[in-house]
Amino acid sequence: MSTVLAVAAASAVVLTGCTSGSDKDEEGAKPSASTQPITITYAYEQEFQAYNPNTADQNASLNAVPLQQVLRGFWYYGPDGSVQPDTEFGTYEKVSDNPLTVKYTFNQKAVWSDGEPIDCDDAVLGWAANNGKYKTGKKDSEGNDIAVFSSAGTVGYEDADKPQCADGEKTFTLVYTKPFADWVALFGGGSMMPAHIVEKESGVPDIIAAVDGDDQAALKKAGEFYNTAWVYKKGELKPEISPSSGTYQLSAWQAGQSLTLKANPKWWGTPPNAETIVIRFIKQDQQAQALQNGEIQAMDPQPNAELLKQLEGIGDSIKVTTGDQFTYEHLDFNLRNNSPFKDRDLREAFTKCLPRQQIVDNLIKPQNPKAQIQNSRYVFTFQSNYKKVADAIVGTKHDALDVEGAKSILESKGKAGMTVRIAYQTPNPRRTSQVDLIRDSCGQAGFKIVDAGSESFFADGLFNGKFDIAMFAWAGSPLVTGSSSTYTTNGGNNFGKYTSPTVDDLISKLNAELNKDKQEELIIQVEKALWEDLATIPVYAFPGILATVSNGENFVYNASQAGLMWNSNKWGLAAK
Amino acid sequence: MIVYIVRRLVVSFFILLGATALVFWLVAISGDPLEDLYADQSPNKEDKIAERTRRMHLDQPIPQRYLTWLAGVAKCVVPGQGCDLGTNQTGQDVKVLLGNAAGATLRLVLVAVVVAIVIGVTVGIVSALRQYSGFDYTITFAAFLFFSLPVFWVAVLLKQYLAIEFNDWLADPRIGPVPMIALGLLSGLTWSAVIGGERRRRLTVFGVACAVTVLLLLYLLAVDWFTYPALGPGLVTVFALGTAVGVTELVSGLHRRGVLHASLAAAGVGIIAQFVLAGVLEDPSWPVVLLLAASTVPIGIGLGMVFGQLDKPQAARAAVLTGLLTGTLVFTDRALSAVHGYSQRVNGRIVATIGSDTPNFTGDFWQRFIDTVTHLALPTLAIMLISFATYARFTRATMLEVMSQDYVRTARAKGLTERTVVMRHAFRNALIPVTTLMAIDFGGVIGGAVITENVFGWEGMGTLFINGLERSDPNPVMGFFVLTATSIVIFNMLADIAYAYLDPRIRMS
Amino acid sequence: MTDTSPGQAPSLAPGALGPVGDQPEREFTVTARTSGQMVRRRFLRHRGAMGGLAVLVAVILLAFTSIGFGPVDGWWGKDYTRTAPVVDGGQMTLDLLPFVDGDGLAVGEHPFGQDNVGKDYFALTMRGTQRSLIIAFVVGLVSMLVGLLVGTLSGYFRGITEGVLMRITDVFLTIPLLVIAAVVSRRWSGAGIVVLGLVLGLVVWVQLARLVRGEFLSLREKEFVEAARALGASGPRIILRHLLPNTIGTVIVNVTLIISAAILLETALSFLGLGVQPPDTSLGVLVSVYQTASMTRPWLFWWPGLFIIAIALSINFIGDGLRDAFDPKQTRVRA
Repeated sequence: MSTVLAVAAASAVVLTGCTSGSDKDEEGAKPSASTQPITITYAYEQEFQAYNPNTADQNASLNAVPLQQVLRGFWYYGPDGSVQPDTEFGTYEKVSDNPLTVKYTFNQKAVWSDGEPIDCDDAVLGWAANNGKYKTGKKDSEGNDIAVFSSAGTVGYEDADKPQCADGEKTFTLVYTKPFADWVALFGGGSMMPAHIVEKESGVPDIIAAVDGDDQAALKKAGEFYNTAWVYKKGELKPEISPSSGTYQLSAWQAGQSLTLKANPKWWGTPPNAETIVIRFIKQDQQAQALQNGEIQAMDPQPNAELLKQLEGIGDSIKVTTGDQFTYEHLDFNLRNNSPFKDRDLREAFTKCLPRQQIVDNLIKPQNPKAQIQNSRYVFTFQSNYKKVADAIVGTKHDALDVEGAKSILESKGKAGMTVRIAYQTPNPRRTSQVDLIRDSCGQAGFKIVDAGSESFFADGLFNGKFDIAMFAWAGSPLVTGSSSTYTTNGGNNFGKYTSPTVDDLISKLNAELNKDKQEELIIQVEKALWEDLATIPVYAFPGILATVSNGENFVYNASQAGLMWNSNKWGLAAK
Repeated sequence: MIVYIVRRLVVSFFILLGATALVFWLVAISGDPLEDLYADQSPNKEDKIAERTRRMHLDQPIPQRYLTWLAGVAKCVVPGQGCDLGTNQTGQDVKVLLGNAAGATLRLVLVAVVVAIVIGVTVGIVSALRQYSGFDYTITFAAFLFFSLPVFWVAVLLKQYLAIEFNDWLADPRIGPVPMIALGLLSGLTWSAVIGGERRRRLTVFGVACAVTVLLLLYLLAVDWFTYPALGPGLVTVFALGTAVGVTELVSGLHRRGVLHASLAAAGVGIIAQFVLAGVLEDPSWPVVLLLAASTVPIGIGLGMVFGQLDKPQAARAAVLTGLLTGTLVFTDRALSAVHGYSQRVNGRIVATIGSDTPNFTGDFWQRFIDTVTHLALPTLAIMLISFATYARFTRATMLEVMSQDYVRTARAKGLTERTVVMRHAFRNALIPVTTLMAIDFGGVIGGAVITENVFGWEGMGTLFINGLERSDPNPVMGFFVLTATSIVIFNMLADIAYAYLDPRIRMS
Repeated sequence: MTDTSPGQAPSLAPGALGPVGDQPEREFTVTARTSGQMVRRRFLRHRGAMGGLAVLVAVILLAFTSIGFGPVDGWWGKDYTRTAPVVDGGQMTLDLLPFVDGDGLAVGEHPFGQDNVGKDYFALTMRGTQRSLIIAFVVGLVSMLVGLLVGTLSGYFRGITEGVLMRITDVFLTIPLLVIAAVVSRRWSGAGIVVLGLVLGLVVWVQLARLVRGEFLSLREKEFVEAARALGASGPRIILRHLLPNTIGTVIVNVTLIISAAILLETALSFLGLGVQPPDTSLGVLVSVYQTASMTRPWLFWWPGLFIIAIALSINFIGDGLRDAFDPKQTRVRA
């Protein structure tokens, strides 16, 4: 589970767009006039590595999470995982649909913490680094071109022309060569690195000129610096090349132990509430006891069956909040020719005996009492439009268990006793329990369920179709463009080999749709088709948990992979 | 001797070569290093796979990868070449990672090993001398129990009871009558078993220890000692003088007046020094502390010469030992005095459950020392249990064997006192085999550290190893392995040399 | 690392055991039997060992009869894979304190409680105990065979054979046990518990091989071996008839200790996620899955832990008893 999450979270940091309505309130945020001389310690499992969270290697939550208030951008993830414009940093708006044109304006006062204004050259660098168009001319072992700038995701940027602006300007316009549904999700927090540092350190006098003049040699030099110089040696920050564009700046890093953020004196907006934030690298299993012992003030780990009980058992000294995460569990049928589930009727029989409610009740509710079955693959149960979308696509048609119905289908097909291998990545106690529940339920219907959990599931099983049913999670984003490769014919993430001309067509329309309402309309159609074909069965949204000391203030649960740190600039501690 | 060492080094070199090749191969085949990328949702998954393939040389066969790695390591041996242990999967330099990790692990392991040896050997000797007593059975049972405990399982309990609940207790330190009496009885049983003797003597010891413990606890609670712990000059003086007497008894017996006087003088010097050096001790540094400890040696020798009469060497030894122990007492006193200030800095949560220190902690020398100690306490205890059991059992066995040797019987027959027989004839010879055990135990301790670091959030070599292994990333694992294997080889060699040196019957060839 | 490493000198010198069952030498036969009887008697009189043996046998019987093994069904009606509704938060129904709450001694529906999906935790613990025991005994068996083979060959033939084999053991000795165990089990733990036991056995034989070799080195110079050689006994015959029987004490004692260490090794590996792989279970898996349950559902934390301790502790005591039985010297009360 953790692997999927980490990887998925990694890719989604840059990619995620979101269709949900954007309510702007920052729940419970209290305006703080000045910075308090307090330290708040937050536990996070993985250790920080690099100041540039954009490269293929370093684009991971472990960098993106701590940097949220260090490298800000035009938008951030709100508590429900939606894209929220960061108006303190700047503003952006769509000025034309055809061609799609977006105008960005930096805050006039925006400066890097070394005093250099944040402006045009930073945007140009951000575009150049993430569009994947500049090639080194070298090939890797598989014959692919190696890009000058390493990037974790080129979607969107590759469809846009160079930002139009001149050196020193505080506004720029981005013109797309083709419609891009997730245009709101470009130039977000963490995506723009200080261009003046690249210029100074790599010896390229002017990034804008290099891009304009298509100066390959200069870009190569810039790329080398961009890709490598910000990967720190463990425990060694390089403050001189790592200025901040947010409320906090990196202050100290004790290898293997903690990363310290201090208020950025050059920050132009509302000052952060706590002067110091310490991120301690603590394994998930160890966090609750550390919180109980007062060594940390906040944590939001992946919950397990015990955690909520454990935290509730601690008593009044802490506060616990449960919620959902932007990740959902699902089962994929293998639709290859040699698979029994090529037959839709058998898929239906299995769906009928799949104890989704029991899985939610037994395994998820102990961690999130509000948990429910999720019927959509795009919209999550906790999003405001979930009910509308879910009702439109399938209703509760598949929610109830129908073991008898399953049995009669199996018998009519003469397949009673057929073996079903459910594969997943081990170790994962929750999925093992899921298979146990499925075995008991579908066993009564006449399926012979085999637990085919394996350590090499991702490496081998999933890839090569060695499963009847694959059980894993997609890190979510209702990314309208992000799920393309999951459901289109021969898509890279279409592991069940699902194919449907209708869905292919709908998805290509969706990817180019700019209107939010129409996007939702298309999503409903895609999902209707997916349910009709029973290609994949969504089960539940992952539960999430947040625990803080009882006098903690403004700790707001965030469903996205941004996690708790999203509003760390507002965190506070009430006097006891 | 030199020939022996050189030959040994050459053989060791080839053994290490074989071992590294074996481990490298096993790690390389242990899994697929690209595994996490297969489920990647990002559109340039192929780029990421390509990047990692290039960095880890996955397009090369394993033997070639090993040679590439070996070529980098070879530079570490040749001076001026710059060491190259490769990078991990995400491009971090393993040499730097290892440098950070080794420091943390060394601290953890060193303290655990030293404490385990001191306590283990002492307990082992006592249980050998009191063979088949209640104490012996208890220790045997405890040792077997420690052998049988899963380390991380114990760690969970240690955190709950010795950290969280102990800290809770410290917030309002009270001891109810039942636990109080239980502690008294426990102390009584322990002391009567250790001191032994016939029935009446054991009963007396039991009663006295029981009463003293209860009274002591009552006193400590009355003066709020658990909130403001310290020894104070009074207790330091009492303990120092007691130490002087105890050391004399062990070294020569109290009837040697010269030795006794030298020890008492050393204790006196220490007691006076804590006032004279008050300014220095306010906020010293480790070099100063070590310098003070070192200065005890010449002073002790001097006192031995002055007071020693006929037993100058013994007197000097006793005086140095007393001086060092008195210094330790003074040090403990100062450190304990700093506990209250430290406690307020960490909201009263003194014993930590996680990490190697409080992040960004600043304070004077004593508070920083307390911070280190409170973070070391639980992981050290967890690593120590097994080592302690090993040393206790091993020492007991060798001590029993030595005690049944002819020369010990001869010594007794000569009419030597029990103290002389044990201390001079048996104890030293029993210690010789323990040197070998240290080398063997080291590998076990490193293994224990892998688990313990994981549980207690220490970023040491164990973490480096496990993280590398989980990603099938050989370089960090090899960094870890080269360091531990080299230490094991060197430790073994030193142990053998020490053994030969201590035991004249062994000849090196 | 050298072959003259002191401290490895055999600490266990079995008394003058004669060749076993050699027809022409009747007196020796008698002696041998007596010696075996002496060992047995000493062992039976060792209270710790007998206690340990009783506990171990009880645990083995409980684990294998309760839920059955393979095709044989056990007397405990519940299946360790069977889910059920979670009753009363999965609390254990075993009442160990009949006098405290006054409702008497009771076993109840789920004596050890239930896990998240309502599986009977007693059945799970028994299954885990079976798996852990099997792994431990496979490790013991494999390491004994390999250790004996390597020790015998290098101790008897010496020369190049010894050189090569001893260098190989030296290579293994430089690798901390948990480290090599973790590495091999990451590769092979997915293949089932017998394979896991096998590969673990293949890395823990080293100490045993060295001890056996040490015994051989001293035994092969003894008079009775020279006598046998003079009588024209072949190499294999000398090894099988004269040398091996004399190393039995060392071997049995050390294999016992290896078995107890293997239980803990499996637990440590499971904690690191490298041991037995779900859906199969073991005591190590159970105890690491529920390590955070100590305060919330203590029965999930304590039962597998207690079984690990019971098994390892009893084997340690048995080992202690065997050592004393084979080597009476150590138990001699000091003069």
